[in-house]
Amino acid sequence: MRWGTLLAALLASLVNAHARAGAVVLYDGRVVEVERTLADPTDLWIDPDDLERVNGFVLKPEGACIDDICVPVRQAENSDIFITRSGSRWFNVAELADRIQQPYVVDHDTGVWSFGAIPAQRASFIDRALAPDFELPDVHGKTHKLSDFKGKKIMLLSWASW
Amino acid sequence: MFEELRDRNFVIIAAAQDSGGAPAAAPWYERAKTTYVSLIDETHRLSSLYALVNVPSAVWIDEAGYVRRIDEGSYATTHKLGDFAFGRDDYAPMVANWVQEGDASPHVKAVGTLAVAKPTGEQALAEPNFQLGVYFHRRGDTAKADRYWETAQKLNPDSWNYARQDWSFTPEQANENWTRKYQTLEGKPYYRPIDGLDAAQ
Repeated sequence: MRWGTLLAALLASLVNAHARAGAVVLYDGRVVEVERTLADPTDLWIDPDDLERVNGFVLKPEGACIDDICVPVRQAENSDIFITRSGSRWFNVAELADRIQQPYVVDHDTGVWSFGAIPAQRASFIDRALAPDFELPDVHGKTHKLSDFKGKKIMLLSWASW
Repeated sequence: MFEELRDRNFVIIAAAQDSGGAPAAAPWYERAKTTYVSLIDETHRLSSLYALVNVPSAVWIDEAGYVRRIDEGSYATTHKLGDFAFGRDDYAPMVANWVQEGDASPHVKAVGTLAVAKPTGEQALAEPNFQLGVYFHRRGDTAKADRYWETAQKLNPDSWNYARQDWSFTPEQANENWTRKYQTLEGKPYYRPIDGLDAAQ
């Protein structure tokens, strides 16, 4: 798999200069369009500069990090998670997901990747019952964040018209 | 009653789990003349984050941000937004008691002790499938939306939200769909009963 992945990425970069039409990423209630990707049926290679708007991670010298989670990424050499091709750097978001046990599903026809919750980020809710924060628009289009109400007792109600 | 509670550092936040967005949910909020925070939640974000499988559900959160109670699809009858008794006469007084008594209320768990089930691998994978369904539904690709919504339902059959949202777009079959799924419960409750917290009452 490892060499297959690298080979696919290499071939894609040779055939297709650098990139193809791109991808759409669904994560955390957001829809993020990514213009530059490497053509690869099994992995999602993006420009590391796009990583933060895709899933909140930032690629630092020590690895891909968010909050107190850091996944080591060696950038001096090519690997399943990071490669350099013709001076361009590429980061594999699908491999990151595998390493942090984040579930995902891809619609190959359209290049839409949908990522589920990151287990490490769910721990405070599952282990300690801390309320996960979120933001949503109200009926008038104004955005509200749960944490804006901290210091009050809150009753959150889910309902539906259906 | 809830107007009075509001002065006591208490807020109600409602979130419509509607992939139809504001056009589906806003008329209901309007009819109920809501005074609380009325959110539109097209991707069922609240259900996903709090692992809720049915509507209506309620999550009680204290001043420090700890969940002290979750009533998941717990109300015996169809809820009405304008009526926060939600079909149970004893619900509003329980909320009021908590707002007034705080930690001393018999209706809440101690800080950090509420048990939240860890999702199985399949349940966790259901969520990104459901989100793909929402994405394609918004773009009018019904065939794809159906495919991913059906996968989500198979991966997490406990979620009535996944199923009922899907059925809402084929109202003529909704009754039949509901009956078929309901029969698979084989006597297990459709709405989870209000838990043992209230036995002390």
